[in-house]
Amino acid sequence: MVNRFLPYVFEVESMTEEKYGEEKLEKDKGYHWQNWGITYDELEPYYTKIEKTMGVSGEDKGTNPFWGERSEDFPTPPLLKTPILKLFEKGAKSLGLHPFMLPSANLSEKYENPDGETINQCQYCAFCERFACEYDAKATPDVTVIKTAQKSDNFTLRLHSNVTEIIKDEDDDSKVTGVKFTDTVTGEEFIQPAEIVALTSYVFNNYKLLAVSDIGEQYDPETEEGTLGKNYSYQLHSGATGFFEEKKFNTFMGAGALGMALDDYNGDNFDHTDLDFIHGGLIDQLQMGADPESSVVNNWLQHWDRDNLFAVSAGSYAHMSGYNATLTVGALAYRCAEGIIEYSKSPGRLES
Amino acid sequence: MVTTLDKVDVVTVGVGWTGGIIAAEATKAGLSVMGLERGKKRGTEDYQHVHDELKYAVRYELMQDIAKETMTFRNSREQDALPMRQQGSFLLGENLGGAGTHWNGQTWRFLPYDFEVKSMTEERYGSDKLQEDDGYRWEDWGITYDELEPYFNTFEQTAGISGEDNPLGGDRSESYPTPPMLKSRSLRMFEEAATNMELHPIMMPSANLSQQYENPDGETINACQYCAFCERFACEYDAKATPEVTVIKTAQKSDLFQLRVGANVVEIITDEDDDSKVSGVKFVDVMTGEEFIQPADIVALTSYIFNNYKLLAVSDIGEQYDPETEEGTLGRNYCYQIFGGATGFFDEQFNTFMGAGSLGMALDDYNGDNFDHEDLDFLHGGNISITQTGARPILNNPVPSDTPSWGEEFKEESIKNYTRVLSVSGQGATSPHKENYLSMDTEYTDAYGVPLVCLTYNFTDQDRARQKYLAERSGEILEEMGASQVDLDAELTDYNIAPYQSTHNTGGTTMGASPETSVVNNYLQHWDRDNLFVVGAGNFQHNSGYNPTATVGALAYRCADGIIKYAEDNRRLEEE
Amino acid sequence: MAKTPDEKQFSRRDFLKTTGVATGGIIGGSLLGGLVGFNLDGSSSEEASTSEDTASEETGSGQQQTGGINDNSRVFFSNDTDFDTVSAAMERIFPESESGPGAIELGCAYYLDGQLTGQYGFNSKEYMQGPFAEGLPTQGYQSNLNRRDYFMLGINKLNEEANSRHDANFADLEDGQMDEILTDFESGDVDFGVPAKTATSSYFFTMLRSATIEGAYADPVYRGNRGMAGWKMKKFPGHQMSYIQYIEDDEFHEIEPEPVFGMSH
Repeated sequence: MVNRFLPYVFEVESMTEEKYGEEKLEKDKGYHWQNWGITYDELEPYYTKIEKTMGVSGEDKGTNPFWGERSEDFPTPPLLKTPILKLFEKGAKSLGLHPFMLPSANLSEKYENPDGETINQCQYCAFCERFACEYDAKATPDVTVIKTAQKSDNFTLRLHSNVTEIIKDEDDDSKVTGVKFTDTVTGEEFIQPAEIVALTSYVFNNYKLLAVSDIGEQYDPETEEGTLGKNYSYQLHSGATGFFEEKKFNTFMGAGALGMALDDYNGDNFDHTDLDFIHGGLIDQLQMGADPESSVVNNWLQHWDRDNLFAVSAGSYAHMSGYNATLTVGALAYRCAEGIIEYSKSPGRLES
Repeated sequence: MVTTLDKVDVVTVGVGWTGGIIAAEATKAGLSVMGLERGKKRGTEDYQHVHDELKYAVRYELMQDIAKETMTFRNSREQDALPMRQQGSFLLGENLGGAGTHWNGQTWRFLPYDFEVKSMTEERYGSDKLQEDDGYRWEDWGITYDELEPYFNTFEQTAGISGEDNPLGGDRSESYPTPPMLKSRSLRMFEEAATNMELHPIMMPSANLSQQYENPDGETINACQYCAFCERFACEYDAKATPEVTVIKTAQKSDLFQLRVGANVVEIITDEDDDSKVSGVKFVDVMTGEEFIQPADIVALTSYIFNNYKLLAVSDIGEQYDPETEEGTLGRNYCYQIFGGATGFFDEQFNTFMGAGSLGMALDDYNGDNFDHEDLDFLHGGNISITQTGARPILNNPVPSDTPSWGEEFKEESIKNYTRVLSVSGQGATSPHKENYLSMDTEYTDAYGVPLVCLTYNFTDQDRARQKYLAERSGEILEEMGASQVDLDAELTDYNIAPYQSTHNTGGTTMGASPETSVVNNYLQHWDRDNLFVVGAGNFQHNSGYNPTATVGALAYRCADGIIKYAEDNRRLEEE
Repeated sequence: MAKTPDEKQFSRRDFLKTTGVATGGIIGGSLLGGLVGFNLDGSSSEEASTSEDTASEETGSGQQQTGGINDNSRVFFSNDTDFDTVSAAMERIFPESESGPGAIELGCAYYLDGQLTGQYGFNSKEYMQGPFAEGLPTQGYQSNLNRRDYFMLGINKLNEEANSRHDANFADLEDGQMDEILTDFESGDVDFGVPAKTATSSYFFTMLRSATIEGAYADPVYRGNRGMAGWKMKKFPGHQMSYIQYIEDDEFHEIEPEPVFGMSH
């Protein structure tokens, strides 16, 4: 499932304050809502880029009134609307809500992406999440960007390589010089020197490497000093189960992102004045932000303390939206890639 | 936090043959006994689908999970010891009954020579024959065959052993409780050949019984069905004498006996006020991790030789043997078993897939000092036998030497010869040597954080010479039996921990007439702790040319006598 | 060329070709409809309107004493090439011959497949604590790898060798070519690219050989020894309650084999 985050998400702190007043942020109760240091509009071109890499299947721009502005339509049309989905659509509309087909990385038709990779048409085989796709019909890294990288002589892939440390430059404490890793098959240790290091593993592993390599300051909940590890978020799921007497559904058929949704109760799309929570609906210990006091990386995901170190993951989120994380991770990764290329040409701080 | 339990008269560490014997005898004498067993309970109802070679013989289902605890090994002390990561050379047992559950049942009394090997050798051949300068350490055991004979008898009566008189063995006060097993074709061939060669073949004494039998304790053992799933398997017919079918059952009939499973003893506790006594043991509940102390007036170590050794070492009882200075006795004189035999290929087909663990014929003409060693460069010998234990298909793929080990020729030859091969083998003694010993490893630990036992062992030159001799004698018998081709076993090089050889490990906690050469006296009472008894093949000063169990059982019965005496008047038993 | 048990069946590859997925076509409604209910193991069943149809119905393709398990299902080897490689290697170790079936027909590779998912594959009853060192020849297995990883290393290497020597996958080679490679493995002449204390080609070969023999002769519940054909070749009667009435006989007895949990004839 590949939803763009709402514009509200990126400026949750300032937009909430503006609409409801500072007290709504409940800072004295310990809540840490923060702006991300980037706006939806700044990130929009990268959202478009990742959608095109994946071939995301979705409806026309105007279908969901709550979406942020889109410069382009989805690369492929939405998945097929099944009887279950039609039932949801009917019910939602009769309540005055705005249902839309979930944007999907299981593609509605065969598609060739701008890098020349082909993704096949989803077969609705119903073995999606936790399974790999035997049809190459799910946009995954191995079918898209890894394949593209492997076509280049510049790319080397090394498996069984467990990175255990980021190595700081002994002579320049604003740089790193590479990483140390252990071959998990043989136990041998290696150092991989590099001009630029990008941490592109999972949230917890990126955090861990910074912590064990002593880069940045560990967050202390007592004093609230330090930014490393701060603002961990997860996801809530709450819903309802309906039992139908008369109907029978082909529930054993399906696809991972086959669904309809509505954003009427997401973000700040509904009035929170009399509610004791904000937002509607994950994850950050390496959050991005506008300054080093409140974050670990800037909005290019460049580490505040080490100019040539980048940390890319959902760890960059200041808080978790009411959506799945992946599209935003991808968009931020594309922006970060631009930043890395820029840095390699003229090293320096990217936020300036 | 450690919980202390109520005191008992006797606590045993391990409930197999020796723990079962002591429990049965002590409770009969009115002593309360707590049997601590670190494995699980199991019994005949668990063995109803046991004819599965892969599960039991190849994957060792009934045996110790060595992920939790193993040993380290090296051939000599100049090398680094490394863990025995897979079961191989010997198969450590576990659970209620221990290895007694899945043994073959071959039940031989050691020879009179064995118990006085040093003095008898000196007398016959002179002290040079002992080769002390070459590091050999043959010792008398501090007991004679005659002193032990009644206990051999008790063990055989308890187990119902099926056998016939051995003209070359020690004297017997009584005959075997049941007649020998049935003679199959290959056994008759062996008997005929051996008799022609003027040797003395007899039916192997067997704990797979020839008929249903009720032992003196009132336990019934059934008649063996020759189902051919014996060693490494448990017996679904209750036809194999095992601890669970005999002595443990007897103990369990008594209100004085308590059994606690899942109890892994980690330490023997020396009495704080009197260092000539122990006060009990400490154990860990393996399911919950909780620690307990079991206080007792008498502690009996009745687990396997390595575990008995280990507990003494970690509890700092006795002095660790040092091969450099030869001081200390704990860990000294570790011995094993060698096999020198031959394989005969025949045109005739045999029912090799039928059999029983102790179905066989054997002769002691080349065992002990039954033959003249004057011109030989080794002492002792071995029991030469033919057995029909049941050749199972995964582990038996006999081929003539020089056959490839895979491919079409291998397949055809192994299939053809599977029913056409007979083996005659000499089970040989091993010589005790100052360089073969047990110690505690300094690098590796078990799952409970306790160091592993380190085995330093290699075959000696005497072992190699003895093995060759026995192989040649075995080959001669097969020739006489009419084999069309006879392949002798390869000669021994270095001891290798990987391929299975035998689970006859002995020594480390030896018995003897004095504390200079041993850890326990001939009641198995520890020299340094009056109320501590150490029971098992660890007591052997060397290993004979036989399976150890009957001798272990006899010593356990004698030890039980000693424990009962000690319980009455708390005295040193060597003063008897 | 090694024959594979999947030959007669409608394979997944065939499905992809037929439906045009591999060639990038769009699957039309009628073609899709026609394929509904077509199980990819080669059988077909009625469209699932009769909800009483169960998956355990005989599929007709060699349902033997595996008691309901489809003959060709696997739980460890998810990659077909890997499976074909190990099958072919096992067949060279224990080939079809005058006496009877070889490793493939006996199901030895299916045996190994099942074993690698259990304690054998994970070495869970073996001591796998470090530190690891290269042992002496008398000190036994000292690898840090479990058998799953060891086997996969070896299987991948078999294919690498086949491709580098003959530009083809191992399973597609001639018998003699496979034997040559296996002989080199056995003598330790193939470099696995890892230190000897982690893995050697000779130890991999030893394990493969043992697994082949186990697969030929273990009780059929383990998915090898199909039809008890391994036992029949050796004239081993499997599990019999008793031989007491035959044990003294001179003549050799040929007895129909039985598996441990008995059989419905």
